[in-house]
Amino acid sequence: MRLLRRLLRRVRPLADRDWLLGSRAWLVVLVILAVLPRVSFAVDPAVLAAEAKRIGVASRLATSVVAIFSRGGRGGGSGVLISPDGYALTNFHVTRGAGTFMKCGLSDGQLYDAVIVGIDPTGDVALIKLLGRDDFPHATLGDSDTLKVGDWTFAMGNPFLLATDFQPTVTYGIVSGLHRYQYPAGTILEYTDCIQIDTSINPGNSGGPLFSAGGQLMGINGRGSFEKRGRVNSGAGYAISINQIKLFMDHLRSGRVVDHATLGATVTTREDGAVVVDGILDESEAYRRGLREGDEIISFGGRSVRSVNQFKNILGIYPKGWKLRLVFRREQVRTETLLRLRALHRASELTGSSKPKPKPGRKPKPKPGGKPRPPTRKRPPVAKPPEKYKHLHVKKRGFANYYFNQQEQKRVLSGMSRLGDFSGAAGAWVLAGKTAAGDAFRLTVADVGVGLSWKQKAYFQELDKASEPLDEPKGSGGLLYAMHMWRSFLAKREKGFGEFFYLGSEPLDGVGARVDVMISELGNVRCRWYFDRKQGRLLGFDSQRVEETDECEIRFSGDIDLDGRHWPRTIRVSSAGGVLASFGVETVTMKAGAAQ
Amino acid sequence: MIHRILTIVSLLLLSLTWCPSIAHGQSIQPTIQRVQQRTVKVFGAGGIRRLHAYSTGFVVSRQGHVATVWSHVLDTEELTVVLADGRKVRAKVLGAEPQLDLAVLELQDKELDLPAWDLEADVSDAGPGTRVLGFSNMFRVATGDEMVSVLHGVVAAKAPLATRRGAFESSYEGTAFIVDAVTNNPGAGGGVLVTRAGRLLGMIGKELRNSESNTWVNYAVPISELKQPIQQIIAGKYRARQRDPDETNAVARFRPLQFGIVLVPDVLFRTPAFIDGVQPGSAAARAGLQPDDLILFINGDLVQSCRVFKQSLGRIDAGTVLKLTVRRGDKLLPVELPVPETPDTPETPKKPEKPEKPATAGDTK
Amino acid sequence: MVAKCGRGRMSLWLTIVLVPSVSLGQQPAANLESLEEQAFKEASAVVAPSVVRIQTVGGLDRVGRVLTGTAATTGVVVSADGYVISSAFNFASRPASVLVTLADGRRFPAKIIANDWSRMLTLLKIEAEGLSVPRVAPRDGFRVGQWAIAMGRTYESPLPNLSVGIISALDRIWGRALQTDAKISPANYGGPLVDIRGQVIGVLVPLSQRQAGRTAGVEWYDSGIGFAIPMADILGTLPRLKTGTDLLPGLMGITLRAGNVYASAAIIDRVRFNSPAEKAGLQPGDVIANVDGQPIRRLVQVRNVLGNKYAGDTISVVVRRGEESVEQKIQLIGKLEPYTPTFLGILPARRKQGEAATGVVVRGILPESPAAMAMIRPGDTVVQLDDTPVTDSAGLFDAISRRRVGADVTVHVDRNGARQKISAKLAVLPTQVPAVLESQIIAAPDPKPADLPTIGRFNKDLAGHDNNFWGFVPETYNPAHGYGLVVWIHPGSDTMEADIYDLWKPICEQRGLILVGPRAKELAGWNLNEAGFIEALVKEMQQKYNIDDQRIVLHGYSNGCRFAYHLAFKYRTLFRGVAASSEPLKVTPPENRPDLRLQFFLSCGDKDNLYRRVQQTRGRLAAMKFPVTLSTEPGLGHEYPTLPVLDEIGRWIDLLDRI
Repeated sequence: MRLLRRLLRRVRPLADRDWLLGSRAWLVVLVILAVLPRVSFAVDPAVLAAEAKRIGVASRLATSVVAIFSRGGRGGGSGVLISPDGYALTNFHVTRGAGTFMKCGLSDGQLYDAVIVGIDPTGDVALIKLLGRDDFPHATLGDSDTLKVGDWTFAMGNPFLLATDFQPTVTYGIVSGLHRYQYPAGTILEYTDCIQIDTSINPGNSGGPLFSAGGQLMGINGRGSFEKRGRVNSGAGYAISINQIKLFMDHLRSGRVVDHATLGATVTTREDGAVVVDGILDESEAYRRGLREGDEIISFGGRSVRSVNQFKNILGIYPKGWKLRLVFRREQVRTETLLRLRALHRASELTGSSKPKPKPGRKPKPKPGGKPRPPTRKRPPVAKPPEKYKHLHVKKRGFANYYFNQQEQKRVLSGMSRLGDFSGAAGAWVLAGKTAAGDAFRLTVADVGVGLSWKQKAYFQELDKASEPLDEPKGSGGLLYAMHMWRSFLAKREKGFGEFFYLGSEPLDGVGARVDVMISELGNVRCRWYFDRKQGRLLGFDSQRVEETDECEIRFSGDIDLDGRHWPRTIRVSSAGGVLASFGVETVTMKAGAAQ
Repeated sequence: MIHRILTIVSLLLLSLTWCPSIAHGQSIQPTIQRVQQRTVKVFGAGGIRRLHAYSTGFVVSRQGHVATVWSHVLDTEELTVVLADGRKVRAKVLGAEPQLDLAVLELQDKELDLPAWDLEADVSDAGPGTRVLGFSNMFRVATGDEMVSVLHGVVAAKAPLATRRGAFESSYEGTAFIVDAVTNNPGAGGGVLVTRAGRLLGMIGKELRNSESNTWVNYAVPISELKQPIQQIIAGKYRARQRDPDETNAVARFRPLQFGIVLVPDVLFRTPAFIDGVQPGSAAARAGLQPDDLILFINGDLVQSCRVFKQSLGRIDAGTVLKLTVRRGDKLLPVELPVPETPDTPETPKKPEKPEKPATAGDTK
Repeated sequence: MVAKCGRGRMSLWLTIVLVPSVSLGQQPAANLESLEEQAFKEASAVVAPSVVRIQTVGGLDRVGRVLTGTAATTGVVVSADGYVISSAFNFASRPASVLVTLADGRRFPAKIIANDWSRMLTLLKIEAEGLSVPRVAPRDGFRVGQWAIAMGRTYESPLPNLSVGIISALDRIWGRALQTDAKISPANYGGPLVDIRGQVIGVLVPLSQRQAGRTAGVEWYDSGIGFAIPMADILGTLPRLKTGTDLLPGLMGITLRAGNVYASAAIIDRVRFNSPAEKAGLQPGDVIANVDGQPIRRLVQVRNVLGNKYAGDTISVVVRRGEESVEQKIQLIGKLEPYTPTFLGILPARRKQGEAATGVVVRGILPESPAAMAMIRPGDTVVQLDDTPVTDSAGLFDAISRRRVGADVTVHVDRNGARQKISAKLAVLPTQVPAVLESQIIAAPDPKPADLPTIGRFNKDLAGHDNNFWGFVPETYNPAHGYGLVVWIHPGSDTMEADIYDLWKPICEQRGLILVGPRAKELAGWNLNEAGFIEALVKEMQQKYNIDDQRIVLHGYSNGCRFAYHLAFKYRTLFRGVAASSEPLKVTPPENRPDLRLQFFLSCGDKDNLYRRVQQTRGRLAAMKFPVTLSTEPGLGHEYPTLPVLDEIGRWIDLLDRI
């Protein structure tokens, strides 16, 4: 006890002339700590183990993080590799300054060339491909719907371009909120259903990965509430959910400038909190399926709708052209329908000059200096493409890089050969048999026209230059013309059309398995061709005679092998949400000369 | 023997790092859900001149009383509170304690039976290093039934926000939880700071700049400070506190010359309080002060400049003892001077010292 | 007693001391989160005794654009006998007095011993003994993702303030610091970053890879981007700091060719005169292949390696020069001294066309110059300098330029047939212009050659440019002699042609000068992209007339000078002088170089509002060691100089080729 008293005595005089007044007790502790030899103490093994685990995960993940440099290294952002052959995700607003080719640094200290593949200006996502290796370290995509508020996350990237040695900055924090909606700020760029984190992200983190504590890729960091301190983190960052990006992935691989969707209707919250339609386009499919102003939205895309933001969140994660189930109510009458989403923008808006506002990763434009202005102030031109990779970029309107669309076309159409060679199959094709309802039919598809006799009626579609595509039989969405499209595709493939390209993938009819989608255009007629993703079988197609009209939806099944050529056994035809008929093919004959 | 000391020490330490370690749940989800249910979004006045028109609040009674920060947002008839489940309810200000930046709202819908904080049972205390979560609708990220934002961090310090020199532009001057998370953002005021176990620590205050370090401060006002006012406001028997007069009338009553101290010319923004001369026979002379002594502390507070010294002199009470610490060479010397019974009055012969205004080069000798 | 108690026992006890809520908590099994929380508190408690509070008194209120706070800041004890390390930021206000408060509350006045201007640290000393020095984490143990606890002692609380994060990256800011996402701010600058075991990883400082300075990087406070200087490195430099000498970032004196810093190779663009690099024989065009054993493939890597080197350190550099590769040891320095022009003191006779280059005939000797002291005489012919033969004045000029001020040289002269060795000590090139200066008279050609170019006053267009120009060539123009060229850069909205012609005609005739007056495209003023035209014009004149390269000068008045300055700095090989009237220099002057001599003549009226700024311009140029003369006209406002000053300019031009 004497020592303690001595200590206290030593303390007293200090305490009197000191802000430590009143906490003399504390002094004792501190004095004792001060006189103690340098101590080590036992940290709970569980704590050390957890730390070691985190260190391991972080170092593994870091290898997949990309430092993207633009404008001669003066600008840039971040990205993350998602495949061994070099596909990497980043933000659109990172790549737009960088041109079609860019330099990318990895944590191995190496610098790689990369080429732009596809962009989503609305969702602020870009797909690029790093070149020169087929064994890139890469992240594994997680399921961002499994995230919970409070979960630990890693953010990695190149904030303030600190990574002069390409080693990413690793920050660690929690999920602050989920399904956040961030309004477009004077641009077409809109963050929907995004993940809010308090994990520190700053300008330059843009395009970098958000990982779960377990190391799964959960999102792409792209935006923050920086207004308070001006381009410095203030506790709120936002990441585009990986699940949204998954829906766009094949669209991005198609090398296109992809678009988001709208329903053709706007919604608002009623006093009682219900979400109701307050405006709708008469020409929209939603309108044709019966949606009207004042109708209450119950659920959309399988998620119930309780706020306008939520509606926007659901809409925002799908590419245009997807089919979503919409459930709405009017005076207790509940209607359920499947709708194809319309384009959110005109092509010009996407490719055009609409600029995203400054964001992480984009350095502010140099201010024009006073007169006279030195020429040196000008923005440096984007780097010239490296010779050896020039061929990896093909310009085409509406595409970020048409080269990759060509590759995808090859892949998808490779399966077609197994249907046999129809190129020689000139003259009329006659398919005859019974519908599921038992009515006999006879379908003749020839160069001069398409004819169908069915239920004692005859339908005809002329095919000379002048003739318009007709809705024959009525309400079929133009079955006869669709058959003509089918014939041209089998016989001439892409050569049969004005435009022909790979779109991406989507669930067949909004519910089925993911299928590859090709688009053909001939005059006003637009067809969506569906291919099974394994063998590339042609599963069917939708043909639209004129914009804003119901499509004729053709689905094939079964197989008739006729001297090396494969024909469908049944052709199901539906339109405007209803099935017209399911034609069971019994005989296929091919004869030279015209049909009658 | 040493063991005894250490046991005592451990108890002492305990007194500070001690926080009830209840609910060692493996997940913090229950905590987050529990707090979210008790947190509301407040929408009111603002929107102009970059003033945000929203803030946060927390439910303190099942009948629907909400505690929040006292701010411009409440300055309206059209006050709306959005509950965790998305319900919109009208509210009115029941009472406020400006000195604590505290206001209590009353929801107009009497039928609600809301999950509410129990300011007795749910409250806890914490010291540096204690892990905390901050809940608020900062930047108005959440609308309708969307959950407010959650930030993680630790208590950086539990310390007084304000010093007598007004380092912080805040009306709250007591001890606060200072945190290492960026909790105090636009609209975050009125949110809550809780332990990971879900114990209530404090109310997130309004945005605040530390004028001494020119940085934004992230802090929360301890519930222990707010509990009584909140309960009294709800009970309808609350008197707003009187500002302590010493703070309000900071007019200088004493001046250096009354102690025989002549300071160096106050020419810089921050002229160190060097003694330029000591008047013979004065208190300063008796206390042994000398020219070139640097005055470092006045009654325990750091004196950063002549101006601060003059201001501090203005606050001392007649008849007390003035404790100074001066630096002479490499030594610190404590000195004590008696404070005269009669404060300086306007009648006294005009001295060149002008403590109220930043003094200028002319004001010595 | 404490001593007797063994380390093991102690640590056991401390654990009990420090883990109250676990030892006494109701729940037996704490989950990981709260175990970690305990660990934070334990780790910080172990270091707490070494974390001190720093308060400053007096000082500036702002440094650059950053307000310096008066709040308490933090430091870390690095030796038991009273040395404390802290962030240089905490003393940015240059305080009059610094005060340190220990963890136990004792207060001490502190001395600032030294600063590390590379890692932005400041070493303090207090007169105290037996201070508690923290344990230091081994430098090779740092891992991205490990816990990092930032500590400060800035609040009025007995306990230090904490922020908890992880290590975000190693070797940041050119290898000087490691990076953490703990919240770093003035609340803990100068404090320790501590690992989960209670060992000090480093000391917290604001830093930025783009700017230097005590306040650089402060704008990132609390953003999740924070930096710490590894304590292991600090202990390495501590002995040097304790001696009271500041540590400076090491420089070798090269500029690398611009390019994508992440992609382009590190090619030397320029080597500073008299710099370590020059002494080591590095040359423009060399490609840096390796520094200190680190292979270099990209510009940025050079800085990554050099970034944490100090003045005085010696590094090894391997450069590729064509096929061969050269290795050099280079000792870095802290400050690159700008080149100071040297001076012997002779006016060389300007050689007529066709005269054999057999040496430099001395036309005159400048009073009090080294040449004058050494008794070199007019009429002497300089034939050799030290061991290098001298053929023409350009050669001698260059040879002298490359010597250092104060260097002893041996000048071999032919004096009426006899060879003499004269030794002299080179001086700094003087800037005052003598009141009288003989000019070398040029006689008109006789007979007049048939193919004389335009003489007298003329107006002309320049092929390939839409600007045009006017000019004056003395009627007595003699193509056998070299003429000086004065390029008149008119101010905005007034070419002043008539006045300039009248004023300059006599000077041109006396001093053997040709005058050209290019006209701006828009009368409003010059656009910098018209520089190409001026260059082309000068080349054109050089081609048409016999122009002496040593005496091509730009002359501007008022805002015309801005363009003149721009041209002078842009075409260093072309222009030897700028005579600028009534206009300050707004851009930072480039480096002065022996191979590209450039001299300045400033004139301004003392009633001119710009007079003070013009005086400052003189200072700025002089600081870069450019020879600069300032001539003040009493009573003159913002007006074109009067004849006496123009005469002085004439003499100044006539002196440009002095050696």
